[in-house]
Amino acid sequence: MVGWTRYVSGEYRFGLARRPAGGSWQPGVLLWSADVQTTAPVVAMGGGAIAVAWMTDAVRAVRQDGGAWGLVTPLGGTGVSYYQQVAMDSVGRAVVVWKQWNGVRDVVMASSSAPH
Amino acid sequence: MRKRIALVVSVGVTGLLTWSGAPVVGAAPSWTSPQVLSVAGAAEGPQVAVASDGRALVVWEGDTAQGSHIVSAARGVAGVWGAPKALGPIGDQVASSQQVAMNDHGFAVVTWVRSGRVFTAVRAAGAWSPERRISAGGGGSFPQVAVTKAGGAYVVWQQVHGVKDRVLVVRRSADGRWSQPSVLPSGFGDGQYPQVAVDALGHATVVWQRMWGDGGRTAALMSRLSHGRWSATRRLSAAKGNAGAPLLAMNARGSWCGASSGRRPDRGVRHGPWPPGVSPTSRWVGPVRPWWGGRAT
Repeated sequence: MVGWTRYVSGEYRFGLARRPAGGSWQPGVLLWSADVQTTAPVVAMGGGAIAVAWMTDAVRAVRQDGGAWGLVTPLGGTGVSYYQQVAMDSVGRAVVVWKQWNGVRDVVMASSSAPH
Repeated sequence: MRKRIALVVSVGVTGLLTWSGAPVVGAAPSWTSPQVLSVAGAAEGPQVAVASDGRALVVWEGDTAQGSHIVSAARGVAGVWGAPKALGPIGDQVASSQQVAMNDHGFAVVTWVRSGRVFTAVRAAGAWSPERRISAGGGGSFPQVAVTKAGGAYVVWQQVHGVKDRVLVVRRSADGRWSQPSVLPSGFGDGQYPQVAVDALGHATVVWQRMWGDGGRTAALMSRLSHGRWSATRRLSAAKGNAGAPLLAMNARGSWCGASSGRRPDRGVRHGPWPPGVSPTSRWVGPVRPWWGGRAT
């Protein structure tokens, strides 16, 4: 699994490409397209699921279970959020962590998700 | 921590690997409400690892008026985050570049740098060891860590040796003994930005960048430890190309996937069994450039 960002026609886009075990690289999937800067994607796999997080106007995350993508969800609140990381265990439980400005200082935030 | 082949990279405006059409739109949200893990001072650079039973571990750099240190927060099987715990004393010098790895049994190793010295702390059976300095001298940076199923670990970093950067590696055996640092050969060039991964048998593979070692070219190099011996260094990139800052992911069987920056034909994603170059699938499949600070998971 490889994820990357591109800037095309005034939009920042983020997508993934996947190579099944023993196969060749599959056509990629576009996960996000917006006119705000999109950077630093991170991806994790486990239990047949995929979790992805990236930074735009907020840290956003999405997961795939059974081949179906969930809703792209903004995880950060009103403060600036960035430096996201993601990990996923062998049954598909994921944790995203990131740094967020709470108005006084930068704090570490976490959000989790379970397989559908 | 499960090791599947996955890399995170970014790319310029040209790429052989492409996606098109409208973004995928899913159904219900599936993420919990965010929870604050850090409670005092400013926090920098969180890193996360998970085990297969629901445990998770987050580490970050904590900065307070008293100084800097590395802080962790652990989530138990029940899914509840514990209070933050400092992994070393607060010091005047910044503790940073923290990395964490954890296996499915909850065994975890954290590594970081303070004043150019590389430190580790080990979490086993829910308890933390004191911090341990594993580098000799200063000038260390960019540590990375991988842990084995059996409770071993490998830590790699780059360190200034004379006028050159070198890639060093230490091994922690399952019985808790740490090796002395070994230097991975980079020839005439600088060895930089190492990454490490392990397979199900605990064999470690390291990739790194060799700078200016071959007529001014940058190369991505690779070596594997098997049965106590590091292999001869293999070149991941083409002989006359420029490729650097490699990323590495590995599955349980030891098949690897690497991505590297540089110029065509050397920037891209490459995968295959060990050793590189033998399998027809061991080739660059697209001009993909790693994002600085990207991480293979």
